[in-house]
Amino acid sequence: MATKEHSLYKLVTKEQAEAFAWSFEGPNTEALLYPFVFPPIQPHEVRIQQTYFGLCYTDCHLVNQDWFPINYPSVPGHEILGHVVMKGDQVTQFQIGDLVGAGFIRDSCGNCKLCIQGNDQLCGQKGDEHFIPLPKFGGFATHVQFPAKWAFPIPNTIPQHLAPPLLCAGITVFAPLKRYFNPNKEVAIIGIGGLGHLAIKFSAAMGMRTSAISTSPDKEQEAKSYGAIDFIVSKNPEQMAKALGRFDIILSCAHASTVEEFIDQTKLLKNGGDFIMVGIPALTKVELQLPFYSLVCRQISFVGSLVGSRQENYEMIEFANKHKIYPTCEEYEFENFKTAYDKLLNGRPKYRCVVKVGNAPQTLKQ
Amino acid sequence: MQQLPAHSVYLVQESKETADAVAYAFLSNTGEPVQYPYKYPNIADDDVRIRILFTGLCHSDCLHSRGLWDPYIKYPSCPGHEVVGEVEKVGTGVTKFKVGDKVGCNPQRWMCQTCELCKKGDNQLCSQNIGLYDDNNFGGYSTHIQVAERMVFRIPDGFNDALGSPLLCAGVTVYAPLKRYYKPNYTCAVIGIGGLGHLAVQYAAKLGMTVTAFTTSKNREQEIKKLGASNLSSSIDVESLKAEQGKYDIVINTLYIENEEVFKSHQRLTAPTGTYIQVGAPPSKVNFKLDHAYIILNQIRVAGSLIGNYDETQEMLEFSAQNNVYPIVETFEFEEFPKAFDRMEKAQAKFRCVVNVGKWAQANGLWK
Repeated sequence: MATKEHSLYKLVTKEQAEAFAWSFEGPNTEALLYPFVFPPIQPHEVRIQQTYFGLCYTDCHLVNQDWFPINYPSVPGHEILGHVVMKGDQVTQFQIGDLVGAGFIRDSCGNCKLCIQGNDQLCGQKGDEHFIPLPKFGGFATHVQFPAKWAFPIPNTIPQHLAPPLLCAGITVFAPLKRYFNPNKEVAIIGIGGLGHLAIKFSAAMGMRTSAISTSPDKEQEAKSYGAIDFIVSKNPEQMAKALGRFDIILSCAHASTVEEFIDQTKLLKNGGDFIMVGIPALTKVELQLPFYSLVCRQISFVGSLVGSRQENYEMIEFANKHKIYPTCEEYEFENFKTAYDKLLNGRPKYRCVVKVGNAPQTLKQ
Repeated sequence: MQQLPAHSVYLVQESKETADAVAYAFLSNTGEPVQYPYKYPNIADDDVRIRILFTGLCHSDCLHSRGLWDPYIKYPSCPGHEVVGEVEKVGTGVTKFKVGDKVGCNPQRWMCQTCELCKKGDNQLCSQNIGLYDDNNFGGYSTHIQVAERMVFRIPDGFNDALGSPLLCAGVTVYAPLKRYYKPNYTCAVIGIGGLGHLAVQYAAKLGMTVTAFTTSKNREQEIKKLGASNLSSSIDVESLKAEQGKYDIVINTLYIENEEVFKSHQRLTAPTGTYIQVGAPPSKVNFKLDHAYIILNQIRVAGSLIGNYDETQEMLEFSAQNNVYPIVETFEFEEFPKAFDRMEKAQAKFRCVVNVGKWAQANGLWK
């Protein structure tokens, strides 16, 4: 059971709890059950009772302070799915009972240049309120409370036990693919994991000629079942040599483990091509670097992408629904959250861990 | 007169009397370039032979001629890829130009026009790209140059020939990416106010952007503001760079700075969804370290850029003439080529060296 209390979420007994979270009291520690009551709901907020939620490695990076120091207790989690059970007075777009999802972004101001231009995920005006998983409580809980603005209606045709990872992994790959989409482009997805397997599906469904690049030769059939037209084993020098300068777009969904590996990946880009980066490794990890000569004389670009705007989320949900694009998930019960988290942190889930909340809010009270 | 070594293509002559042209060529990776009279073996159907009026000197010329790029470079070697001249002779199949036309050459000698990149318009990335000078071809350090018409540019009316030759490399190198990524009303950071940077400031300002010049030289404020910069800031002071973080929609970096913290601070000048353009490159095999966390969290583009394609080069020439964008140059006589090269090699030039080739060529009977 949790012992460290968060300033906003009163730690209470199980019987008194409105909700239950899994909290971390320090880096590299086990999650502890945190029964709590919410602060009063604000006029622009909704409270969600989750049906399922997803786990993302970013949550591990945050908890373990791989990027920056954080305050504890921490309840991360940002692949949220559930029904609206409470809403503030100003919320008109949702009714109690609506099925909604949420991702990494908690709030945006709506007035700054970035918001107005449609890049509201990048809004820098909201300080501590910018991201869902911290410093407020995020999705590793039976309930989440956050601005309705960043809740997305989820059609009931998407299987709920598969939907949560779309709200982070899905949008993370969908948004840049759409942004750089061109029907004539050759696309390569590096890494067939949580992000990569969805990226192949989205890219192929968009109609781009999509190839998969992996360290594992045995993923070929699977990659092709997702729509990949070609499969390249990155540890095979012959296959890599054949693919030199082949791709207009490379979407990297896996971290290169050495500088040489990264440079080899960039060589697959056509002159003038775009290398899309979405995953941030620990800051101590090997730096992504390449010869100046290659960057300048081949005129290649490295472009970053951070989840997606609200508009891009709506489009992604519609697109996934229409093309039946769902992640491959491993399911865990809420009470076994620690097992799910450990699998993510230390194992190799295939490909996303999803926790079923079910009637945990009731059963945990006993 | 010393015995000059033969060249694989050009026919070396004993004196300029029998020559089609006189180059300044390097005979080894050290020492000064020397006069090298030569004849052309032929003029191909699509070739244009140009009387060079002015040649710009570019630091690439040093990197090439001193064997810093290719240690196996063949000598005699004649660099130079910033040429303004007029047509002296055309091959039988040439249709784009006629004798007397004012023309220019940029650092590219050939594009195939059939590969995917050429068809897309990015001929500077062509798989069969040949540089204006290499082991087989003499560049602009000469009274003449002969290039296929497809890579010859029309110099617009009203162009200042005496000042404009460096635009064919330095100019397009900054103009092309600025034009490619800019929007009017963008804020623009130009890092390094030297040969490339002082042109970037002018182009960025004329394109309507608000320009901040990042430099080490605070005492050049007036001069840099005259070029079009609204503000100056330090290019190497980390605290000062941090204060400018995230403010610039376009950052164009003409420098390479070894200090990692400073270099990352350059990338961090880029505003969310902005573009960082790298055009400066060090001579050795140094790596560019991507600030990946900043790139992803701010959704920026880090882009390399190489001169410009044919259309961008032509457009740059017109834009420069119309908007009066020219480099600040030091001009030398033809026989001062070694002196000009030395000044450029030592990075003392303010800001580009130009040789008045035409004056000597005409006076010495090379215009036949």
